[in-house]
Amino acid sequence: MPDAGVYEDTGLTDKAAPPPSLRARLARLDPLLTFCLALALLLAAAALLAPWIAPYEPEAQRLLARLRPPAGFERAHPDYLLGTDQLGRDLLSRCLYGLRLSLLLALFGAVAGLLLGGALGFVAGLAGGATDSVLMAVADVKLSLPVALVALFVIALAGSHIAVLIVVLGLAYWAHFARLVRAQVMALRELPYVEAARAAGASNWRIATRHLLPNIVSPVVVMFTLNVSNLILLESALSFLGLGVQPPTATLGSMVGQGRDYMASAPWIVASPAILIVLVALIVMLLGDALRDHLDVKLRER
Amino acid sequence: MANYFLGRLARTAVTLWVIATLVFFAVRLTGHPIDFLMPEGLDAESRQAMIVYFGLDRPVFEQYALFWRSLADGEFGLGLLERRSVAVIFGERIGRSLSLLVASLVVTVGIGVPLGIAAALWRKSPLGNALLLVAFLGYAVPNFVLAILLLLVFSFSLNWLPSAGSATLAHYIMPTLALSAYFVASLVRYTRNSMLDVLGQDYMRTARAKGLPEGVVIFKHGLRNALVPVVTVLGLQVTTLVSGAVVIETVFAWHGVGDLLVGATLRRDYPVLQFGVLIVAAAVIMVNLLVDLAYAAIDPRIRLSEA
Repeated sequence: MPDAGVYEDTGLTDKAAPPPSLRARLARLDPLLTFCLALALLLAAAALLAPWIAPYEPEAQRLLARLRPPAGFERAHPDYLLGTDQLGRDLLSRCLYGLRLSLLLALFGAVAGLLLGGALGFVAGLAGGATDSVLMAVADVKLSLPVALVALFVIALAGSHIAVLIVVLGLAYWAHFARLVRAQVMALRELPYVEAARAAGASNWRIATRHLLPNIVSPVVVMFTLNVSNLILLESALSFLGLGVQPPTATLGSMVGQGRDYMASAPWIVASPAILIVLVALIVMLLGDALRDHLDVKLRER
Repeated sequence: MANYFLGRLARTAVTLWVIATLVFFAVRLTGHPIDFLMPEGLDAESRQAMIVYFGLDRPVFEQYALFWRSLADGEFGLGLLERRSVAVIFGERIGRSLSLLVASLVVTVGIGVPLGIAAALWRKSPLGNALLLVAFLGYAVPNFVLAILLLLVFSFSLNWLPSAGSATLAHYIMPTLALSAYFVASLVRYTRNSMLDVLGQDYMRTARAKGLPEGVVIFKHGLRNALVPVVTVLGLQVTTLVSGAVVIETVFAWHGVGDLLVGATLRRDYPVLQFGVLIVAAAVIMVNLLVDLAYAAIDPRIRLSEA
């Protein structure tokens, strides 16, 4: 199952750094980061295991137990820890499945953006000349457009299918990857060891795969992590607007969007998914920042 | 100087042309344009009549010429939902959107820069750390969640502020706050970092050494230099601000361009969406152009390096 990977990756990419033992590395982490890492693993596990640990089917309705508040409040129903929504669906189960889908979409979207942008940036940086100019002009066009505008346009043309949504998320930040990878490749390809490889008769393919790719991994991993947290927010905003994943399927954003109508009388419907969105985005962002400091990568901030 | 301006103008023109062309071809690649232009459930005969009427039976390059002529004439067709000229629909709404964007920019700069300076000056005290923490939260809380939170507190619990519409000044408070929070947060961070860079410079020590009052050192020698990169970042973020406005306008039923576009997407009102994408893209690109030109006018290093 790939959806837990987003967090495990961020923990494991330390491999690019000089490798002391795991325990030594953990000891150097500050408590906040350790806490984040633990929380991240917990949330990733919850998302991964949603089908097994969720107490109910996320779409199962129980109309006799509608709009019940979370445990501890008046009128709470003993079966529903986080309460129920307007159709009597269990909010805990919906949050778990929603988290799972939101993470999955953000992860696939980031991979799509990385593959598209990374490939174009790599080619642009390696080829230079006219190829480079054209590709970067396209990237500049993309960067000058608001992300939401592109998303609305693509969704209007192609509909709100999950695959379309991954394309939308991938399109959102590919140009950032393209620019980063291009800049890295351009900086690297003039270095003596690359020249030496070229002088020794290595093919372009060999130089690209053996000498360039391994050396641009760390900044790309950092950008990927920060990108995942951006995409979690973008996906939840789109689903919130009703343009993302369609009901009755739950994502965190669509739960907030649909709970909006019941905000005055049943604020808990929006509360738990909203808190989860903030928590997840915050954790991924903190981990990305820590990773950047750790790998000492200089990235232009968005 | 003139060279730089002309080059920049030419790049902008090319960008706009690429976007318009992409919009034109995107429709034709994903389906028959008539299905985007007409309501569903049209009988075959009137469908054919409409195809001929809109010139969609002609060769693609002829359609492309027609597309440009319609853009040049300001003749953008009728909205499918409102059956009115698209240009009129936008004309009614654009003022409200602009006023929200301007209000948010003012709030962003008015709060973000002073807090950023404070965070830099008191970086070792609890205040500085608290500011950084708040800024970090502002980064991670999505604007619609913040909007919902504000609604919950100030509209539904306390009943102080109106929850929808844009009629009075009170209507502006929550949308402006929800929209600008992210940008305040990022401006605090940028201003802080930029200010910290500047504070360590030799000319700051010189200014102090020659006995200038601390206020003059900080604001005249420090802030002026620190703000240069901050202004650039602000210019870049106009694009992101427009994205945020789309969401915020929807939450607060603002009846601006943003919620118009969301509605047009949900209901497949393609004429409105097509025009909206073109006009918003053009507006954002023009703002970026203006920021770049203004920046080049202030800082000679830019035009020298790009010329």
